Amino acid sequence: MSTSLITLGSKPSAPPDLVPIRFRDVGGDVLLTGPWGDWIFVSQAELATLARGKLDPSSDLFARLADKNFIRSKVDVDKVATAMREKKRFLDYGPILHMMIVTLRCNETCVYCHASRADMDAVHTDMTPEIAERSVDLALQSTSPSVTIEFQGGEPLVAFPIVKHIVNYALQRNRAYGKDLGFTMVSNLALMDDEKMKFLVGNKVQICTSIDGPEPLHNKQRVLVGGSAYFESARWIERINKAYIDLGLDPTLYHVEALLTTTRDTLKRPREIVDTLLSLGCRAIFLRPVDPFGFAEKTRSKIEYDRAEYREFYRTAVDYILDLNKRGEQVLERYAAIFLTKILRGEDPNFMDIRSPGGSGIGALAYNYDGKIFTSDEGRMMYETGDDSFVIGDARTATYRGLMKHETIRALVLASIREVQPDCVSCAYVPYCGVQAEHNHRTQGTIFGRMRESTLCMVHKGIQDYLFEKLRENDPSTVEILRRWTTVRERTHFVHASAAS
Amino acid sequence: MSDSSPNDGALDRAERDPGSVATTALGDGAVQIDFDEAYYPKDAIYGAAYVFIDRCYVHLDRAGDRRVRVTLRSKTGAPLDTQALAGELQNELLCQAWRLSIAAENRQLIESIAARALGGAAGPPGLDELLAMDIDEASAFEDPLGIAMSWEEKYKKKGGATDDAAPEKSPADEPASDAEKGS
Amino acid sequence: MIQIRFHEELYDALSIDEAVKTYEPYAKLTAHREAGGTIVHVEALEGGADEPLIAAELGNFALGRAVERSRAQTPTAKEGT
Repeated sequence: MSTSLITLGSKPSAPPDLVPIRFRDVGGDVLLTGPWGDWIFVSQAELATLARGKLDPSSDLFARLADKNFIRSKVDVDKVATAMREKKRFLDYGPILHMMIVTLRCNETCVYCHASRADMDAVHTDMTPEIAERSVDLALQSTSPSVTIEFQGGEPLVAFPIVKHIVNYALQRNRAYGKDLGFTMVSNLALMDDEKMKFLVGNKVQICTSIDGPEPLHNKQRVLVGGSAYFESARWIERINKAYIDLGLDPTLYHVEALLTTTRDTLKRPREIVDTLLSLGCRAIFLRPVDPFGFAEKTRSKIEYDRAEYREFYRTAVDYILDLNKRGEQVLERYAAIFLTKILRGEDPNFMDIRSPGGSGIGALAYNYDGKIFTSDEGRMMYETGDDSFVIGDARTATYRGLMKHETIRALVLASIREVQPDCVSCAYVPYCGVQAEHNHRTQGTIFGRMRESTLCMVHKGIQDYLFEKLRENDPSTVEILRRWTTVRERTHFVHASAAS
Repeated sequence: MSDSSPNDGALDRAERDPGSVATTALGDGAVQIDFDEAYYPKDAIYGAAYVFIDRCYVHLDRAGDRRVRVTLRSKTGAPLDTQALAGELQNELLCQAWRLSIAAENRQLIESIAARALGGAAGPPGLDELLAMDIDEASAFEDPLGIAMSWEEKYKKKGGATDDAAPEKSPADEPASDAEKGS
Repeated sequence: MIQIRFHEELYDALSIDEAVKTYEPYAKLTAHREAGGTIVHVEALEGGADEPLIAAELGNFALGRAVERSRAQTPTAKEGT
């Protein structure tokens, strides 16, 4: 924070017609944000004027502020209320994302792994059909009109029979529930074969994998005994993408996306990382920082890094991505797209970890192989390493409403309303931001967290600082690209529409 | 808000202003921190202490009128750990105290958002749940929220000002608050 | 023997009582009231865990219960903290 933005007099006051604002120094100007997410840049001199309670209704500043809903008497209350209601519509329904951890067994060992993997002979960590069916029943009872079942592990392909069972069972049961049903899978692809691919593609299971960068780096961080983890991922990305083309699907929309987890080694090579992902056909690059769950904690000294270094990496990588866009490549950065959707469109893309209140429990649930149900996958990871704070039930005995009424979910909702948390309450980015409560618990011992000490807050502030600097510079070609990143093209092919629609 | 650690010069500050925070390193790997309840309500001290009981041994005591003494001992016993934890405790206490204040000012907003989120997620009760509810003749007409009460009856003056004489304000009626500092 | 003082304004009697009952199997514990609070005496059992450890764990337990009880009694607004 810059306390030098205003030289305060004996009694600072705001103009009576100004809505409550928050402000932040961005690139030498001052970013003002309003209660509903409107934003505007003013000069430091203009801020000083406002802090003296002065605002000439005939001034250019007044006109600019009025245009952006900063002048109380000019606000169209009904319009703003409608926009806010729409923006927060995710509060009107329950979990849309249901993560099924079908096994802990995994054929790779990753340095940052937070899945608390098990060896390939640990068959007791496979989900049983009974637990799978109960989990699906609970998922379909969500009040959300759309339900996405996401297969995770370990490595979900290890327990492919259960994956098939869940898909078939869910499709059959959904005839009674009528949800818009989707499936996704996060897989290293090393165990893929033609039969599995045929089932997954044929049943519209969206596939996502992990690529950590060029082959040497990827294989160093993700060890596949007896093979090259990168080679296996790359060849099946190509095969699956070709299968989508053969189905007549637009390859710019339908392709395997790859997730990246940044480690200390990754930070040194932002351009190489982007080039690698692009070469594999990825169009949405998610520059995720390493997180503190599971194995990652044990190997912290080797892979962890100062978030200031991550900020530099992020800036360099996204600058490069923007350059690529200017040269005709269609590729976006996912974090930027999430924040920009809120900043530029006033809409909320409902990304669980960056919304207020957060999506833990009310937006997403995780169903473990052993039947335990968690508020999030992070909560599940902590359970596997000895912390059961985020267990909320068992698939064999829970009821849907019983889960939603669990005190832990209530606590997480209260802890993740950013507008009323210390620091966030006066942060200019609060209309766009969110911090996962489980992350606070893991790193600081409290679900509320202390944002000044939060690495996640530092990452989110860093990204938003970067984006608002670009918006302040207002280079037309850059802004056009950033706007384009907020365009949502629905992947309707992957939706198993309800029978009633 | 200052970016400096609240532990910087704590002992010096205590000498200049005995009313705030005083930190004393004890010889056995423990640290003692005295807080003035005027700055840090007991609830906040409770909340901050609770956050640490998995990592520290925490003991509370009185250290004079309206002063609470928190003794912190790291479970590892290392003095360095204890000093760092003392600093962290003070940061947490500041957060807790501020959060109490924010929550009190924004109670309506918190309840509104939480109710919508939890209600939207849970949905209406099903028939099984309704049938399982224990509603008898005695409880059927309970009205804990005063919904059946008329406005006049609810807000009538009781021989002077009442605690909640004013009807609930809509957000548009709320007075403008001062511009808040950015971070 | 170790003595722990629990100030009555910070630790309610029920929480202290619960803590003593919980740790009774691990040490010889006696408690008595005096002005302003309760004193709990902790004496190690032969071959058992050491006194400082029992005393510290008992203290944490009592504090935890006292805080939980205090929160359970406060109005809804404070659930936001």
